Amino acid sequence: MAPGMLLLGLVIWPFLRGGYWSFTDYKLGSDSEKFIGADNYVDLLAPGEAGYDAFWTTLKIASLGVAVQMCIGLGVAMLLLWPAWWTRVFRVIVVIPLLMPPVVAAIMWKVMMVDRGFLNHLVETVGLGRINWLGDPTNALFSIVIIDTWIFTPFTILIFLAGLQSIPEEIVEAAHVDGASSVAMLRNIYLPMLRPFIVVVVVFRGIDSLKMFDVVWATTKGGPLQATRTLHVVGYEEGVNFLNYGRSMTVLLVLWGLSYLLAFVMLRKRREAAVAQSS
Amino acid sequence: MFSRNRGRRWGRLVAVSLAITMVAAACGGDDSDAGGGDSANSGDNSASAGDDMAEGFNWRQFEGEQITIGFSAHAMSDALIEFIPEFEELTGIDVEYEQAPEQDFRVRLNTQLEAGSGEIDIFMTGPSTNWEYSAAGWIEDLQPYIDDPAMTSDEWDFDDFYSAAVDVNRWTGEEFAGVGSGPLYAIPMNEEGYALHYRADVLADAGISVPQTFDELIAAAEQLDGYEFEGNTLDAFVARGHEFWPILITGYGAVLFGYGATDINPDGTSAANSAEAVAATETWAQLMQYTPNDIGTYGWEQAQSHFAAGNAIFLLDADHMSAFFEDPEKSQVVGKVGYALPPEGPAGRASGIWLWSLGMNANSDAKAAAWYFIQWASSKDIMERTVPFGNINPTRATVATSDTMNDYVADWGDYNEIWTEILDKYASWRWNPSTSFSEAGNRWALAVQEIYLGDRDAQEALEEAAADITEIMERARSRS
Repeated sequence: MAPGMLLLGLVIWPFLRGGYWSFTDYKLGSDSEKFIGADNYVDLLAPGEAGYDAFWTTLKIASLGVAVQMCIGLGVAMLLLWPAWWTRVFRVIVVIPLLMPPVVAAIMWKVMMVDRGFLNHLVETVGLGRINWLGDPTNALFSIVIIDTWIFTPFTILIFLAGLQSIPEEIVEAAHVDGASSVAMLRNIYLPMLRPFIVVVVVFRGIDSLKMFDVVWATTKGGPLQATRTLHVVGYEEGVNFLNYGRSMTVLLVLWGLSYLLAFVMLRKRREAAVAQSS
Repeated sequence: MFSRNRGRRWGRLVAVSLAITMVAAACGGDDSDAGGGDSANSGDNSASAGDDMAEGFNWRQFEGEQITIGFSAHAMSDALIEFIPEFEELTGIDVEYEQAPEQDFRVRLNTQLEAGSGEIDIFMTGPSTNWEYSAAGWIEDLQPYIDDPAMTSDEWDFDDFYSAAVDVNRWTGEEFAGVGSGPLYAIPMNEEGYALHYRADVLADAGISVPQTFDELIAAAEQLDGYEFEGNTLDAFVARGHEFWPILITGYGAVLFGYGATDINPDGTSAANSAEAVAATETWAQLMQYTPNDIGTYGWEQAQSHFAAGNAIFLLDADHMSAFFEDPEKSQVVGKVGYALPPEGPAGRASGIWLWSLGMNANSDAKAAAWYFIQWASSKDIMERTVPFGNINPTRATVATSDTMNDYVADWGDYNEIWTEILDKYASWRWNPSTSFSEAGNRWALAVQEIYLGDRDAQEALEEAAADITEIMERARSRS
């Protein structure tokens, strides 16, 4: 009991302290911190303010990223179940991006995405004009999602692979015998039986994408024109660069709230589904 | 005989002890875990340091004391780390050090200083960080040590330092005011000014002379953008394009102050929306049309790489990037680069300044010994010997004109004349110090990017920025 309480204290205490700071004007190095109520929250999160824009940017990147990674992950996992010898080889290759430190992968992609870089070389060879991958505000957001997808889709592939392998063969064979189309099989067999695995993917990738920092910082640092500035980037700049710990904690608490909400909703649905199944 | 219960309890005890030891080891940190101490350079720099140090001055006054230095990864720290054994021999003071990449170094230093311990005695610092530290009471005023003949040898010669470099490290402590006066918080070890780098071979080929004014530079850029030269299509111009405060000191800064803009109005509000600032930013926006497409994310590294790869004709940024451009292992443009003064605006030529300096922890328990190290490292002899490591530009006039410096830059064309003239006449720090400088600066830089990249109206964008910056300043002033 006591060690458990100690551990809980160690985890909760910094969190509560940081939460308190978000209601003060605490700046590292100043000898006084004033309680200012919800001023930080209004200041940063009112429409048009830095936190408000960052909130929506964070949601955009996370939802786009998770959606793309789920689709590609499921598709590739199905392909990897093909009974051929070379799928075993691909199962190993496909994991490689996941083994690379995200920062290294981001820098690698940044070099490839430079105006005169490798990607534009390929694009021009195909006959298209150069793409401004990271220097255009709209493109930059999609480029970040591309990089994040390249690094973390292997995770979703592995989860879905395990999920697909857990589906009893008899059900699939029976469906084949009954003449079910691929779409019908997807809707009525695969997706329902993969639900717990989908929850895992959405929760893990969702939270990771919401709090993504290293990929953004290593490529655009939140730019250009703050188009890729996520809540975590704002929190970092306010805290580490400006030493405004109070304001930093404000956006980071919002980020925590988003992550917690996602996990809560997904796990609640999972529990309800489990209850429904067993009744 | 061990009962099963006792075995389990022992097992638990061992596991907990191991865990505690691991946590303690991780928290304790090793003083020299990043420093190493193995030097790859040969020892031909080990001239007898003692001879050049003044006789009659007692270098062994603090023999037996111990100091710890925090270094950021830089040519300067590489050089000083190499020479540390000589200092230890001269003074009998034991030196420990840590070295880390800049961002990590800064974060760690903030934690160490905030803890109020005397763990770190000396650290690398400069403008902006000096102000955060002095407002927090973490950095020591060095003027009393300089003025004390028992603490500083006559040979050290304070007047030998360029005043522009020294003044940057002074601040009265008043938020958004008082630049250049007050306590001296650090001794400058190297500086950079901002020059117009150009491809001499391309200009000769196109028959264009080196631009002296911003109008001439824009005209040349317009003519030369997309120039085909030796199988490559060149961008006319490159500089930092990101939305962060360093642009205020560097390329954009040279334009801003060439138009006579200031940072703060006499009434204390932001001058970002002044007529001069708007005009300067419009000129900058014009120039930036001749840059590569992805210029919006360019920091100094990308600007430097782009130019060194031979892809641009003009670069407006740190003069000592010359070291990179003249290095055959890193640059495609060795011997092809010309160095010129920053172009003239309606108010003349202007340049920002940036420097790395050595400062002292106000909570150090070995301040006198720490001062000895700072004095020694910034002495004429040692500073001159750091030059071949790449620690340029020197902040002492004698070192700037020394044989060592002349030899180091011998193949770099006009470089030595240009950078010394910039430091002598045009370079100065023009931003009023504050603990919130980076926050205010970032807001200004964002407006600049909105104008040149987002096609926003300059007056409108800078009006908004001025209002936001004034708010940031009020917040800072109300806290002090």
